[in-house]
Amino acid sequence: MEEILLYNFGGLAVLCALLTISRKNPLTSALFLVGAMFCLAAIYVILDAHFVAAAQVLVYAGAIMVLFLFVIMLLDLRKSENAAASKTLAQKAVGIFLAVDCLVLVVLQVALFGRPFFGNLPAGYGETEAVARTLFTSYLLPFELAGVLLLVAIVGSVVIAKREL
Amino acid sequence: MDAYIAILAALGFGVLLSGGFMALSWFVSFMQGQNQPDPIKYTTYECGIPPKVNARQRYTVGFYLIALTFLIFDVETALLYPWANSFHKLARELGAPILWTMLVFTALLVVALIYMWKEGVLDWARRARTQGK
Amino acid sequence: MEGFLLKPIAPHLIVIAAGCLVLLMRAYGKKTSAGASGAVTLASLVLALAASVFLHGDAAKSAFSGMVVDDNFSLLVTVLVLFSGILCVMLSFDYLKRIGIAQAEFYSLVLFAVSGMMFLGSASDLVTVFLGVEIMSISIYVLVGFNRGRMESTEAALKYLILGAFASGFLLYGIAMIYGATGTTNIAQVAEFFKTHGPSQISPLFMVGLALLVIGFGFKIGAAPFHMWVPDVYQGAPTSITAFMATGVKAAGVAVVVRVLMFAFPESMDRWVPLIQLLAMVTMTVGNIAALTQKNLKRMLAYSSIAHAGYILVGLAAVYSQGFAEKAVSAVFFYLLAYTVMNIGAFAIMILLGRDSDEYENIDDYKGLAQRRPWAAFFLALFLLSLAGIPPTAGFAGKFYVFTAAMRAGFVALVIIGVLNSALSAYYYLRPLIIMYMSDPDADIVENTERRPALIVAIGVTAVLTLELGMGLLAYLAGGGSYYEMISGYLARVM
Repeated sequence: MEEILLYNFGGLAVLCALLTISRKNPLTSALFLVGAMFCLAAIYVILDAHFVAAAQVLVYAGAIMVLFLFVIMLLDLRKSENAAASKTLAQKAVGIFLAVDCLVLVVLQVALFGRPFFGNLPAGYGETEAVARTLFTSYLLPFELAGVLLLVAIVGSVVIAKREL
Repeated sequence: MDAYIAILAALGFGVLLSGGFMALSWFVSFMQGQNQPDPIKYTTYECGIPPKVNARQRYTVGFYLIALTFLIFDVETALLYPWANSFHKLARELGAPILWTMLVFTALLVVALIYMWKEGVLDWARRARTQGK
Repeated sequence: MEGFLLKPIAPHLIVIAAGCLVLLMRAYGKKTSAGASGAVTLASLVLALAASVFLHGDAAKSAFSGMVVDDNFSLLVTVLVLFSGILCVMLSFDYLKRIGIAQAEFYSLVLFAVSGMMFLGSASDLVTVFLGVEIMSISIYVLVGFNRGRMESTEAALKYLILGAFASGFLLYGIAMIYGATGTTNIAQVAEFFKTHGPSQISPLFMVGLALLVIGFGFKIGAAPFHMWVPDVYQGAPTSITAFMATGVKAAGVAVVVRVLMFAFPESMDRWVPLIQLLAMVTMTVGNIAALTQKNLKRMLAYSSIAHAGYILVGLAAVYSQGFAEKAVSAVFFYLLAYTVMNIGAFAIMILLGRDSDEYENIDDYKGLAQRRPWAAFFLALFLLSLAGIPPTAGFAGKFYVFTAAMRAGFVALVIIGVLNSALSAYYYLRPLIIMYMSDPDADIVENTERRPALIVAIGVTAVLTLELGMGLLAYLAGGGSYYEMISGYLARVM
């Protein structure tokens, strides 16, 4: 059952990713990227990484995608469509060749040298509760520092973007 | 894993339902409709009023701040989520500090919120007005 | 329990709290002048300096499950960074008003940047290292572009942001690979891993991680060949921030390199020391040769800061000497201190002379300065001589210790290249001197004659320290030997 789901979502993720890079309209691309992100989240669930799955949906499919869409809309759309269309056949061929090359390398690497790294996982591994326990005990200081980092990011973006200085 | 079955079922149901409607309408129009192309039929339908400009326009850069604000507070949510999810268990194990840690974290973000508020970043209507001119 | 837990990071917390306070002052008191927030900033930095010295115990104290540590090493970094921050704020007071960007946010971002640097100094876990780097970098990106009316400033910020984000990616990837190779991010535990498993465990994965870390840090300290951003960013940034970046950011970056390389990977030293040696050679040479042709003083100091990063890396490579590692690290610290003092001094003179929006950047602006402003010319000459490494200044002492340490490690070629580079650098440091003292002033120059006490104090402090670090009179009179020996005696307890 898990294997069937894994391959289904994996295939869907690859399909969405291909559509992301092959669509001419950047908005369509962005929406397919959302699909790919959701499929990845599903794969994380199947791999028992529940918190990562939730963060994937919250942050990537949510916030990062919103940022992508905003950036696309802040730019001049018609210009970028033309730019995308102007790729020559040679450019496309080289790109496809490199992508396939990378893929083959990764697959070979995994097939030849891949081995389960952690062996059997302990019960409750990857569950949100386990993440929370680590986050609020060993990694407490980095957690608070992340708060400072977010504060700095907000102040920085306001300073850069506000009208009157 | 089992907890996600409901989500999977909902997903499957949704796909079936929307796909079914699509297939049905396509099928009905294929069986019943006649193809009579007409320039009017190809114009964008917008509440019956003819569209004046192309919908794909550049947005004002004021929206950049809104997007960034959303992004940053969304990342904060991602960090709040594991805390909220397992608060009861952790509170029993670790006691009051678990509350304090989150209070410190949120205090930092409240400072950010107050700063943004007072700087007028959240006053989107005013921004739109001043930038429209 | 809680108080004990927070003690090692109390100075850091003071700085962060002050940053929030300045923000809230800005939010609730629109009429509060930027000068008031500057005063709060200065006071909190001095308070943090006092706290870090007085709360510091002699024994190393680890806190937050080994995320930070309070030891002699972290104290030195904290003091250095706070000192640089204090001088930067003193330089900023009137400068910000003059170029019309006097804003509370400026000071608040300086405070956050300083807190990030302090966490870099006391980090004992790679996760803390990364968060410290990010808090520091994001503040500095914004500070570089703070003068939005000036195109160079915005351009510099954009360049720095894009390249800096890239470097952060390298850093994070390196940390991930080291975690993959050793199963931990804690610096002490990484060292422990190699001690128990032996050098046979140095896998390709680990080596790639180490290389990525060196690239990431190399970018942050502006070492060649990762230095391309330095001239444009230093030139475009507000001058007080340039001084801050050249000293504070560099000191924090070097400190974290030392901490990670020396404390986490002492076992694999023969792998990374050649890398650092190579970086040092390239950095010194590139910086000095490029500085030769500069006609803009700010840009010249930017290239010279690349060269000085090279001298610092010479000291870092010298940790290879068996049993004298702490001497080499002390030389690095002494050099950082000397560089902080003389470099901020030089930038302070630039700020002192600038009028309105004219930054007084061109070397030709300094024609006949000795006749018009004899004191300013004298101090600038002092700082430039120190940067060139002429005795009896701090710059000479710093170079002397660094090169001695490298000799002790047996890196003769490296020292020869370093000395040749120093000789080369004398050319471009002495040229402004000749222009100041040997040529007549242009008739149409208008003087900036405002009274600026904070700036004068900063220049005085840096000038006195430049001489004092070079000659060590006070330390000699107090019977404590030289400052370098004080530092190395201090570090010997943790290394």
